[in-house]
Amino acid sequence: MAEKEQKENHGGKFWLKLDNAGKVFPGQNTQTWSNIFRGAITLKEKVDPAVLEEALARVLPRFPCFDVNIKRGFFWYYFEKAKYPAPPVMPDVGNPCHRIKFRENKGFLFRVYYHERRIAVEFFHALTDGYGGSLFLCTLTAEYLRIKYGANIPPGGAVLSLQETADEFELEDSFERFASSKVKAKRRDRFVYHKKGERLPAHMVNVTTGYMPVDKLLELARANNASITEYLAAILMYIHYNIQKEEERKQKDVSVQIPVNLRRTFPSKTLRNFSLCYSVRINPNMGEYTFEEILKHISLYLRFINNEKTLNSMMTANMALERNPFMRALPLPVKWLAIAISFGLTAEKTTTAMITNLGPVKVPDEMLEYVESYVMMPSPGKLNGARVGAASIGNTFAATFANIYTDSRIEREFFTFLVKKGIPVKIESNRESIPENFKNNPYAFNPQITK
Amino acid sequence: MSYCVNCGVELDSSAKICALCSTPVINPNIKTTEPAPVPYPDKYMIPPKVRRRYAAFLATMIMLIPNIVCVLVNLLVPRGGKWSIFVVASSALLWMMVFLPMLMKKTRPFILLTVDAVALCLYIYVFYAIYRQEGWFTGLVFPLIAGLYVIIAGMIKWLRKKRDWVKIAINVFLSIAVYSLYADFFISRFYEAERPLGVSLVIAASCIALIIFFKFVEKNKRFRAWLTRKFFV
Repeated sequence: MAEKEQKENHGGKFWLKLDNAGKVFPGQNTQTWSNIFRGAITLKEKVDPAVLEEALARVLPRFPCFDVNIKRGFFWYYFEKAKYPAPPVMPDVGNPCHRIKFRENKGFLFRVYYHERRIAVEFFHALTDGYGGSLFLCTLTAEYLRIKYGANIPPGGAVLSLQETADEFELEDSFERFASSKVKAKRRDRFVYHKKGERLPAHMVNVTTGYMPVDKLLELARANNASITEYLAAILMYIHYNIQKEEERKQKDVSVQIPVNLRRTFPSKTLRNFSLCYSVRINPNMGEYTFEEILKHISLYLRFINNEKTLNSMMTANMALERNPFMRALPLPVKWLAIAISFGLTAEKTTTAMITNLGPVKVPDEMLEYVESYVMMPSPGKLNGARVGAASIGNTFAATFANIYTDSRIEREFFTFLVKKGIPVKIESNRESIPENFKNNPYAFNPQITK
Repeated sequence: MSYCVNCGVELDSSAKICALCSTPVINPNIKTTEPAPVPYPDKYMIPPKVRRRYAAFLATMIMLIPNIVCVLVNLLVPRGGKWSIFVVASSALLWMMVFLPMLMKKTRPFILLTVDAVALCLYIYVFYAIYRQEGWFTGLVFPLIAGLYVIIAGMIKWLRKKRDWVKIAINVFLSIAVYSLYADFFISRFYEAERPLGVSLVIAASCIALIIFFKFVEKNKRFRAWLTRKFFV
């Protein structure tokens, strides 16, 4: 696909269409919120920014689909080869995943940060999904380790070879290639319960990461006939179910959204978006639920729905909108407005919480000895207090909450639930670095304004 | 390495309180040497606010151009009458209502309301001054705008505190009833109508019926609870 476009390009600037899932994200962008997620690798020694900058310059050409700026076409947004060689490597900030502006950061749609022993990259979701992001971050970190320590890290797993160039399958829109179902899955999403709370000021988010050993967590999940994702989703749903019950109000459905990496089902190796979300819900009006029942409900539902045919029909339903000639003919501002309005009206109203599990990030053993943990932080919600990103590297599993509310009840109940089940959890958070009276005037505290 | 006594989770070595429950971390075994690195820096990327005032200033400048052109053309070609006055007056009204609030640093509803009322009066006065006819400005327009101003100002003042929705409904209907009577009085006086207060009495009566209903809702807690349950959105 990409190659075909290149041939038609007659030697002009490299450009790409946004993929099917990525098309909505520019429309959802506002002055205070963007759909941005973060991947972060913690090393065993302090990060050297100069070396990181060098590594970034070497790695970026391998990922042409990240080496882009976003531009407005007449009908759609599109990516164009970036004007500058690489984005700046910046010291980390206390409010990760703050909003993106297309003109900032030299026009790049990802940001590279370092702090103490951590290398973090934040991606605008139109660019890629969690898996694509992990490939970039691991390749970047591997190159950093090669330069810094002379480590001999062979390519493999999430580390791509820098000697090769990106082939067309890495740059393709896999939705277009694989969405071939004759049936379009219908969406029947009802509005669901949301936990209320006092919000943090705009641009702020509470990040809480819990580190735990993978083997113990896996043992616990297996003992309950579930996978780790299913088990954690069940805890999240159980917490919300109980909170709603305490509120003594009309009981609404409780749902947990779980994105799924389609590369596991379809033979794609794209670096761009290729994931879908499905949500599992329970209706509390049906009666009392125990944790075991919720866990069973979630794990059975996920196994039922997670098959090629169902996923294909969901993909086809999304593609149908894009393929619709009427939709295609609408000028970009109209599309943008329609997306902004529909997202403003329905954003997250159909999901109570979200959990995304990247699964084990596989890196070569030579790299593993330098690496301590991999943290996946999801984009902060608009309504959801609990959005959880999880990933594991080696034997360290990290579950990260991005919470836009001031209270920490969900995080607390989530991690203490695991502690009670005998999982040792280590907590790390940015809560302490947010001053108490920050809320009154956020601009009084180190306003680092980037232009 | 400390653990939270409340949650049982291990905490970061820099933590002074538990991130989950805010319980202070006191570990007498750890001697305070140099502070441990914090997981996240206390520097924030707070993007600048939308430059609303700048945008309003730009819009003002852009709006000035056609106005100046109209005035100049009108002065150079005075045959068509003083038509540029209408352009300038309409632009001025638009500016007062839309761009002035954007230029203010803080929203001040009373000042804005007063400015809007005065601007509206002046705008209509421009037409009145040009087509002088039977005193409709003083007899009709001015009292109507003044009455509306008083009622809205009173409502804003009253709504500055958080009010119960039933009370808000009662007050809104009361305002509608009063204003309709007030407006009808001036309209029928100006046009010397045969049967004054005809329409407004109908409006006022319906409003009063609704007010009585809401008064009942306010008093009767059980009925109110039923309503809340039934019309829960």
